[in-house]
Parts: sequence; structure tokens; C-alpha cells
Amino acid sequence: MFITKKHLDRRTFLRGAAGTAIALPFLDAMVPAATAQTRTAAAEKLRFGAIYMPNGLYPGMWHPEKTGKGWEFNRTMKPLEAYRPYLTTISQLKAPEGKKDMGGIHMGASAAFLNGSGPQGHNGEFNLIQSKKSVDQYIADAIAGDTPLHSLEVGTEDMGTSAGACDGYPCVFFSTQAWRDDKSPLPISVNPQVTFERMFGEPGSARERLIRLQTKESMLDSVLQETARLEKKIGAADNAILDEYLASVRRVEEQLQKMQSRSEAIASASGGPVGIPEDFDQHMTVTYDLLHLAFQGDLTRVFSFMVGHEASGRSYAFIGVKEPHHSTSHHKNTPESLEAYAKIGAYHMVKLGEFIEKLKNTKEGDHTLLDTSLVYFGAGMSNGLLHDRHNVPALLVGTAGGRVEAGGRHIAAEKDLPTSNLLLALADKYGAGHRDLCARRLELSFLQPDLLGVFGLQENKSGPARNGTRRGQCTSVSAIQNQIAQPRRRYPVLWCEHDDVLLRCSIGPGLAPELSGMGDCGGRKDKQRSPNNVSHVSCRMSPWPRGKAASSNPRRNTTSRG
Amino acid sequence: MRAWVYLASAGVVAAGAAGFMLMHKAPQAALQDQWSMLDKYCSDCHNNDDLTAELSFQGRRPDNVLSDPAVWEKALHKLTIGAMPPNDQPQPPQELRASFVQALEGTLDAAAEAKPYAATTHVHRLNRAEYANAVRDLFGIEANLAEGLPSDGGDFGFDNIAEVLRTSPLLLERYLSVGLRVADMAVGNTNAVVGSTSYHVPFDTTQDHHLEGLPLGTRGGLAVRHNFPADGEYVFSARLVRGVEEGYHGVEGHDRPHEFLVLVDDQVVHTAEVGTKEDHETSVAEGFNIAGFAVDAKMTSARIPVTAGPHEVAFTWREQTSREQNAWEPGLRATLEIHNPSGMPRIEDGRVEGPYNVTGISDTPSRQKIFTCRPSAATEDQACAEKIVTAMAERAYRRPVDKDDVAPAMAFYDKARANGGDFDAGIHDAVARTLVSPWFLFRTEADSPDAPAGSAHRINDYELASRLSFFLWSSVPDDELLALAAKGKLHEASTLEAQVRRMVADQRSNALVENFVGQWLQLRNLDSRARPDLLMFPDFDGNLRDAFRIETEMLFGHVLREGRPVQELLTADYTFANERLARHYGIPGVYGSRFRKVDVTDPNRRGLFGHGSIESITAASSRTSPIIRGKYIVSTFWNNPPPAPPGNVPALETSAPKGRPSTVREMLELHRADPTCAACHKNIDPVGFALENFDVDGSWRETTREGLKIDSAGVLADGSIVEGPVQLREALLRNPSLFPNTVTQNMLIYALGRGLEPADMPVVRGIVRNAAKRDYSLMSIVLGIVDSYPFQMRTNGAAAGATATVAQTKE
Repeated sequence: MFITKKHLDRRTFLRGAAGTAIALPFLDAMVPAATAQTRTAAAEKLRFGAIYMPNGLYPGMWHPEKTGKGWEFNRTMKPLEAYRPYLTTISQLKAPEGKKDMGGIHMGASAAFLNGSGPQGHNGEFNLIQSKKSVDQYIADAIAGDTPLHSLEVGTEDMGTSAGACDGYPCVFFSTQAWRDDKSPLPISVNPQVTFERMFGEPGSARERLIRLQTKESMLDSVLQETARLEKKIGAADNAILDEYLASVRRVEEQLQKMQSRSEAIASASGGPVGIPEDFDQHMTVTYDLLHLAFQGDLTRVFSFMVGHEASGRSYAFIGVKEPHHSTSHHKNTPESLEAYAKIGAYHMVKLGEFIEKLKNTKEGDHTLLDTSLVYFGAGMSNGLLHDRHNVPALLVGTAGGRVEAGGRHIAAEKDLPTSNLLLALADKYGAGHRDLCARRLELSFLQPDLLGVFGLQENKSGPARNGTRRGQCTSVSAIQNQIAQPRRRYPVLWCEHDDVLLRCSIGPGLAPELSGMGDCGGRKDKQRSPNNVSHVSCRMSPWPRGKAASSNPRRNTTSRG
Repeated sequence: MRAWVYLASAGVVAAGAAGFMLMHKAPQAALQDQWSMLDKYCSDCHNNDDLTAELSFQGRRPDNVLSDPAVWEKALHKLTIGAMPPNDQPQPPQELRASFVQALEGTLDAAAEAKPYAATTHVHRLNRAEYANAVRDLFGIEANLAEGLPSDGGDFGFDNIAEVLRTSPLLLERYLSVGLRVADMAVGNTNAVVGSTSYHVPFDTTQDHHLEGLPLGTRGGLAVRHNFPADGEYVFSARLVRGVEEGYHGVEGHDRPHEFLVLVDDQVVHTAEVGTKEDHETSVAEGFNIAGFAVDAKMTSARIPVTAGPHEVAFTWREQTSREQNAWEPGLRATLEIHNPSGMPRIEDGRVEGPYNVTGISDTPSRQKIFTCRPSAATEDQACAEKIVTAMAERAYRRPVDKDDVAPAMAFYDKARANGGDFDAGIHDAVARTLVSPWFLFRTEADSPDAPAGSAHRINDYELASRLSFFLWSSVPDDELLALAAKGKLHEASTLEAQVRRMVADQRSNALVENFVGQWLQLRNLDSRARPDLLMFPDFDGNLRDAFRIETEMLFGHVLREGRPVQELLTADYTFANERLARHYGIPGVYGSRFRKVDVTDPNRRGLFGHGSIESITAASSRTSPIIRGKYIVSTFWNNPPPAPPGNVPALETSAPKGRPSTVREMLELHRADPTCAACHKNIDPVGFALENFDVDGSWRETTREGLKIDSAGVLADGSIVEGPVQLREALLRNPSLFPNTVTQNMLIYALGRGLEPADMPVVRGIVRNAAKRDYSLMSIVLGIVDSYPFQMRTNGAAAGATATVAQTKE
């Protein structure tokens, strides 16, 4: 059905001994298959990927009708049918607006995908490049280990900078989903050659690559000193732009040091893609190949991939869709226009399927890469016609080393449950960032201001902490209990407990039972040393008064103690 | 200190909306007289209860206008263009409106005169275009470096905005990689490993004819300037465009061969016959894959010796007569088709691979630039290296340098030597290190020790040289600018004007044309947005899209360099076209691929509104879009962008009239029948209708595809009705200062690398008033910007602990 032009990627070369260029069908050949096995360490390697689909997917042609198992694949997801056992699909989630005001209806959808937040400034606040640290980065903090690249951010298109192109916000929000911290965007790279070189260094002999690595590292060292001099000379102490420059220098320095531990993989990569493929299908294939390579060579364990930028006007003429993607998403509610819209989604399922297949076929010890990974494929809107944030697609592939039960489930979440809950659940699965997620609030969209107050979660910015609590901690557990007793609150609770060191968050029972099970709220149940003796409170709370969702929470039984 | 241009003319308002003078009183007193206009015509909506558009005029008085200049600048603009009061509401008499506008303008301008504003910028990172241009000017290397650097993001419609030019780890990694790569190319590298570079011909480029930039007598293909890293042998090869089913285009089914050529500096270094009887027979007997390998092999040269440095490399075909070329249907688009109707083989990409058997490094242009000395004995090495590195750093850092400045690069020279590298290897590393220095990557402006924190001071001449060169060239200053800065003469008015004129005449100012026009008029979107539907517009191809861009750029360049009035961008009775474009517009007598100035007799085709570039980026692929066009026109030319669409707009329940085709206009009128939509769309769509005669591909039409007559009547924000592009243009030019003001605002953003504050608007008006005296020439706007207070001044950063304040005093 699809014309995927699956011929050789003729931009990919391996230079043989004689110096002739040999076209290679797949990038895999550039890293010896043995690399992953030989590097298998005792500790388990977990991997996470997030893939973003712009312009939404029509919910009526995406979500399966029945929940549980054994449902029928709907039109758009159909190409993944062969991978059913590895899938978990969730419906009824609501994506955040991701913007402060009128502008940015599209931008907000992608900008908030991984942090539930989007820009912190208002439309027209052009200078404010600030959002919230994103969940993939919390996960990377937990699982990156000694990989050279803390995370990898890729895409297929840049947002132009023409007048009015970026909805009244800095354009960087269109090309960024991952935030290292609240002020450090990690924009995508759209050039496969650049991504390849990030992973393996520039073309050259193995020795040359390593020498270059060392040269670069020492350059960064001397740049640090030089920048300090510059700041002084121009009187620009505390300059945000220079500070960020310095932070980047330090990060890259660290990355290059770690890179040297991957000399084996680096030495074996002897060529790479050249430039940006003009053919979009090729661009998709090469990008997925690189992500696969990155996992295989253990160069990174976390990636995010924007298959297009929000409001993308890309032409999908090659699969027979006439109008640009964005216009197609503003369909006319006719079968033909919806079919065209679904075709684009289905194309991306074909590409995702190819990626799953590769992960599945790559062994790492007793496992496959797919076993140790979890890939979250989602969108910031459902029905593009309305920029609708309700019932957005959320598809999980893989089990993160058995931490998520897959098996082809379709979970219907409580209606309009924020996608942020899913993000928290994912973070939780990877044992990531409870402390930060709670203490720094992540500004998840469901934490409405009124709730924040009740939870005592407002940061205690001024002066010494009250009642012996620390900045940003939950100050009152009873407040939480009261809150939960009020049935009118729809917001699922970001549960908090604290001891003298640590804040802990977990997923409230407002979540559908299946998802609650994913949030490992019992992780610290043995700790009884907090002053208020509430460390296990999250698992003992009176049930969220919303009927079946709460009462059937399987975790409650296993973790409660009376 | 000399008077700033707008100060000299403040209060001498010659070109207001009404075009007459009445400023006998002080502006604020005059404003008092007209104040009742607000109560009568504005406060019905803009009051404390309704707060329409979150604006109330209640409690505002002439004497507190200056406490909220942002609101009044906006009001001024809306009144000037007639967007307010809305055209379905009672309108103030023209005289009253004009006198209010003038009084308000005068009040704001007088305040700005007393308290001029300059920004505080310490660092301004080079964007990727500037980086590439700087490398070109420093080392004579033209390579596609921008592709290896991540997108810069941007704001206010431009990608050179200091505040948002941030750094990410990704960017920093790339600076290291690209810096080393530039050093390889600049110094040459006898140890260069074999590398492969591929150059791409866009898919939809028609290759049936001669292409500009290639030698005459050739057909299709591509020509590039390639930097060869060393004297040695290189392999040149090209690949054919290939379809999924039928293999290489132009191979199968042809009995007449096409002659493939590789040229280096116009010398043929490789030829091959492609599409011969054997190719055909192989593809029939063994399939196109096998045939393809054979063709690939034929199109790969032997190793060919080439000296280091830049050389012109072309991969192309020998031109034959149409009959010999076996063109089946040469009139149709030969691109993007699986079945290539012309039947001629086309090149998808050309590659250079090497070097093999390196013999040395010849004297290349970049080596001549770098190696200002050559040590004749080992004892001279250190001194010569220092001389080289110092000269390089001065130009790269755009200022005089001392020992401390060159120490980091020299350390890398020393290290390379200590590791056994030769003199060149040491310089190589020093070059790479210089290119990652923050002094190179950031344009820096220092606080003045002589001025107190928060007060303004004149930037020094080196800083001025950089502001000039990055504005006009998107690159580093040249030796002449640096020499004038060294003498402290650059800021002198006569010198400055002469330099601006010299720089605009220099071809490096093409960067201003490309980057400014590319973003202001959104020509950068041509590649992604101008994608007419293949089957509906079979004649459209990449060549035409390129021609659209070149036409608009050349018009802008001409108006700028020839001292023409800025309005000529809209009215020019000439344009720039080659055969491809002229054919599209129906202009007779233009042959060949070269662009030249041609007369435009059809008034509909004159100026920007007649340019295919603007019409094609504002259309969908299969239909015109008055919404996109309308939004573009009001935003770009009236500076009056509509508010962003609200979220969750309900779906339209209306549908097209049954039983007959409908026009886009009819569909949109249904759309506007919905009051939610109408609120904004009544100011957008009708403007777009005025250009309905221009089809998706920019061609002129009288009827739609279905045969319905085009109705090009549109309504502007002030309620005036225009029909067609000519009347739209006339309406835009009715107020002579409006369009120059729009251009000036955009260009000032671009020149300063920051968004404009309300305090900048009086400066804009001052520049426009002065330009009025020079016939509104575009050049006078450029000169006015360079001459302006914010361009020549900066404000000291606040002292530690203090909060930043706007400039309080003037020198």
C-alpha cells in the first residue's frame, strides 16, 4: 500500500580498503554486531525513547474500540499489528495546552509534550526561553549511566525564522521538547550526518578520531578560561548567555571524556550519512537507524524524536496525500479527508514498526534491545481540525525491562486524565527523579494553582523554612488527606510524603487502575524515619472517591499496612 | 556630538497621514485639544467595563501618555492605518484624526528626544549564516558550513536576535567539529584521510536545458566550488535520478546515448556515454539493478590529480539538439515523476572523493591569507607562528589583540609541535582553536568605564565596525573598516556614510538582501511552502521556484544599490527574469538562463504583488488561500498582524452550496458568516481576495479551474474597497510614509539584532522623515539606521546588585 521507496540509501558509504565507496543498505553494518554483547555489563541497561507526531491523529481512527486485550486495530495503528504483544495503548488522556495565551495553539502541543508545561512566558515575551525540565531528562539522570550522550534529540525539520513563523514565541519552542533544566533547551538536530558525528566523531581512521576527541577536549578546557577573561573584560558578569555557553562547554567536555570509553564502537564506525536526505522517507529511515545504532552501541539510553515540527506543512505526496500535512489535519470531516489524514499517521506506524523490528532483532545478552526499552509514541493533540487536546494518542512500545506489562493492552484512562500522569508514571517506572519532580513541581499542568496551595507545595521562597520544612517540600500531609476527601476534585493527586531528606511523589489513584499499577508508590515503604511518620502515606490514603478506579487499584493491597 | 538625525527633524512633520501641517502648539498642548476624540470614538469599547482588547482609555490623560508609551504607539499605528475605529463604527473626521495623530506622534517623539534609548547588549552570538560568511571572509573558504550547524531559532521574524541566540551542548559540539574541518580546508592537510562529499541536485530541478552557473554547451547537472584538502588524486562520480520501478531514468529504452561530463575548472576530466544500446539491453536482460551498477561504474572517474584549494567542479551533460537528446515531450515538467516524460537522464548528486596519493599542498588562496610569513629556519618558527596567529586573531576577533588574546591559540600551536607535528600542523591547530574562541563566536560590546552604570555611551569604533559589517554583510569587518577603526575615524559622519555606500556596493551585501528579504518577505519559506500540486501545475519546477526567489532578491538589491525609492519595490515597471520566469509571466523575448532587467508592461505584474515568490508562498498546493495571503499582506506590508487564532475553534457546520462548484470566496464567506470567525477574518480574507487573480503558481488567471470568474474585490481595514493588485498597491501607498515606516521597522530590528521597544518608534519615524527628503530612497533608510542613536550607542550594564534601567541620560 505504501510506496516507501525502500531502496538503498545511497548517501551512506563505507570506504573499503581500496578506497572505493561501497553503498550500504543499513547503518548497522557500521557498528559490529558484537559491540553490544561484549559490552554487556552486570547492571541492567534500561532505555527510553519518546517520539512525537505533529498535527495530531484523528482519535476515531486511532484508538481501538474495546479495552483490555484482544481488541481490533483501528485504521491508523494497523501497520503495527504484528507487534501487538509489545504494545500498550492508552486512550482518554488529555494533553496540556502548553501555552499561556492565545498564540501557540500548535507550538504548545509539542512544547509541552515531555514536560506538561510549554513556554513559561506569555505570547510576545520573546526573550523568555524558559520551560521546565522534561521527563526524558529525569529518566536520563536515572539510567544514562556512563553513556557519552546523556540523551539524543533528533528531528526531521527546522522551524523557519520568517516573520510570524513561531506564533509569538521564540522559535526554539518549535524545535525543542527536551529541557536539560528549566532554562536549557535541548533543540533537535535534523541532520543525520550531525547526529552520526555526535555519536562517532568525524570521518577518519580510528586513531584520528581518538586524537580529535582529545584535541577537542583540551580545547574546551582552555575555552573555559578564556571565557572567564572575556566576561571580566566586557563587564558582563552574570550574563545569562555566557553562563549557558559555559555550561555547554562543561557538558560537552564531560561527554567527550565518556566518549573515549566507547573507543571500540567509535573505531568501528567508518562512515556515515552525508547531509540531510532530500527524500523524506529516507530521512526517516536513516534517523531511526541512527537511534537504533545509538542504543546498540550504548552511546545513549534516552532519545526524543520529533518526526516533524508542529503545524508542519510537509508534503506526503509520496504516499498519495495531496494537501500539506497541516492542511490535511484540518480535514473536512469527510471520509476522504479523514482517510488522507489517517494515511499520514499510518505511514509513521510503518516507520515505527521498522524501528521496533530492529530493536527486537538486536540481542543484548539474553535480552533484545526491545526488552530493555520503552518507547512512548504520542501527539500533543488528537483531532487536528480542532487542535483538540482530548483523547490524544499515547502508545507505549516495549516493557522497560519488564517494568511495564505490555501484552497488547488497551487502557482507557479516566476521561481527561492529563498526559502528565503518564509522564510521571513513566518516570516512576525508571526510578527517576521523585525528589525533583515533586520538589520542583515540574509544573505539571494538572497541578492547578489552587491545589498547589492546598498541598503546601508552593515553593517557600522567602526566608527560612516554616515548621522545619525545607524549601519546596510538602508542608502538610493532613492537607493532602483533606483534599482527597473532597470528591469534587477531578485532579489526580500528586501524592507527597516527606521525610527529613526527601520528597516523594507518586501517582494518585485517580489514574486508571492499570496505570496506577505502573506507578510504583511503594518504593520507600520501609522508611519510617520521617518526623511525621508519613513516608508511606501515599499507599495508605483513603481511596480517591471516584469509584472503580480507586477501589480496584491493585497496588493498594500490596503496599498498605495498617 | 553631532545631532542625531531624528532630533534634527522632530516636530517638522511633513508627511503625516493627512499630509498637512498644523503643529503650531507644543505637541502635548495640541493633544489636549484633540483629546475628546477618544471619548467620542474610542471609549465605547475601550472603557473599564468592556475592556475590549484589554484596553481602556478611561483615566488616561494627555499628561500621562508617556507613562505607557506601548499603548499609545499601538493606538497611533491603528489610527494611522485606519484600522481603528473599526470600519463599521462611526469614524472621526479625517482632519480630526490627522491632527490627533500628529499631536500624539509629536508628544511621543518629543519625549524620546529628551530621553533617547539604547539597549544593553554584551554578547551577540554569530548565527550560522554569519559564521559561514566569517569563515569565507577570513579564510576564503566557501563551504556549506551552515548545514553542519543547528538551527539558530529566532524571533521578531529574524534569526539574528541577540537575546535568543543561545548555546546548547549540541551547538558547542558542532563548533568544535566545524572548526577542525575549517582548519583542514584552510591550512590543507597532507594527512587528510579519504573523504567523500556529495552535492545534491534538488529533485524538482528540470535538467532538460542549460542551467545558470554551468558552462555553455552543457545541459542540466550541477556546478560547485569544492575545497580540495591537498594536492592528490580524487575520484569524481555522479548518480542518476532513479525511480522505484523502472530504474535509472533515461537509461532504459533509449538507443541514443547521452554524454556525461565531469569538469574541473572547465576542463573535461571524465566522460561517459549513458543510455547506450548496451545499457538498454542490460537492463532488459538482467534488470535495472544490474544495469544501474554498470551505469554507476561508467559515471565514476578514475583517480584524477587535482591541486589543493578551491576548484570549480561540474557534473553535467553535453548539450545536444532536442531531437538528439531524445526528449519525448519537452514541454512538460520532467521532475518528480516516476515516469520521466522527457526521457533524459538526470543527475541526482555529484561526489568528490579523495585525496589519494597526496603529494603536498599547493599555495591556495586560504594559505595565502593565513601564512603571512614562512619560517626560513627552525629558529624563526615561533616568531612567525605568533605573527600568523596574531593577524588571524585580529580579524577573527574584530579588534586589536594582545599577547593574552593569542595565548590560547599559541598553546595549541606549541602542543602540536611538541607532539611532533610540523609548522603547518601547529598552525592548523591554532586555526581550529581560534574558531572556538568566545571572542570569535560572540560579538562583544564592553561597558564603558567612563560612564556610570545604566547610562548610555557611544560604542567604540571597533564595535561600530562590527555592527556595520554584521548588518550589511552578515560577516566580519574587512581590513578597511578595521583600519578606519584603528584611526578612530569610522564614526565620523562623512566617513561612515562613505563606508556604508562602499559596503552596499560590495557584493558581500548580498547577505543583507538574502537574509533580510529572505526573512522579512519570507522568501526562505519558498522551498517548503511553494509546492504546487504536481498534477494541477505540471509546469511548475524547482527552476521556477529558484527564479521566483532570484527575481525578488534582485529587485530589492537594485532598489537599494541604485538609490531608488523604497516604494519602487511595489511599483517597479521592470523586473529581473530569465527565460524560465519570463515564459511563466508571458514576457516575450527573453532567452537563456541568465537573469536580466526587463520591462513589465502589465500593471498587474508590477512590483512585489506581481512576484511569483509572494503569490506562491501564500497559497496551498492545490488552491489559492485568501486567508494566508491576506494575513501575509496585512502583516508584512501594513505591519498589522491579526491576533493569533483562538484554541479549540468549533468545526464549521456550513457546507458548500450543493450541485455546482464553488469559489474559494464563497467558501470563505460561509466561514465569515460565523461571528466567532468573522471577528478576525473580516480583516484578513478580504485583503487576500484582491490578489485572487494570481493562481497557486503565481500565474495570472481570469477564471477558476472550474470556469468561474474571479472576483478580486477586497476590503481593507479602513473600509476602503480595492479591486486587484493595482488598487491594493495604490491603497498601500496612499499614505506615503506608511510603507517606508514598515520597511524601516523591520530593517531596524534586523540591524540591531533585537526587538523594538516603544522608545524606538520615534527613531523609526525620524529615519522615515529624513528619508522623505531623499525621495524615500531605500539607501537613505539604510543610512538613517546606521546614523541612528540606538545603532551608535549602548547603555552600560547595571552595576552589580542594581536593577537594570533604561537609559536616563544622553551624552
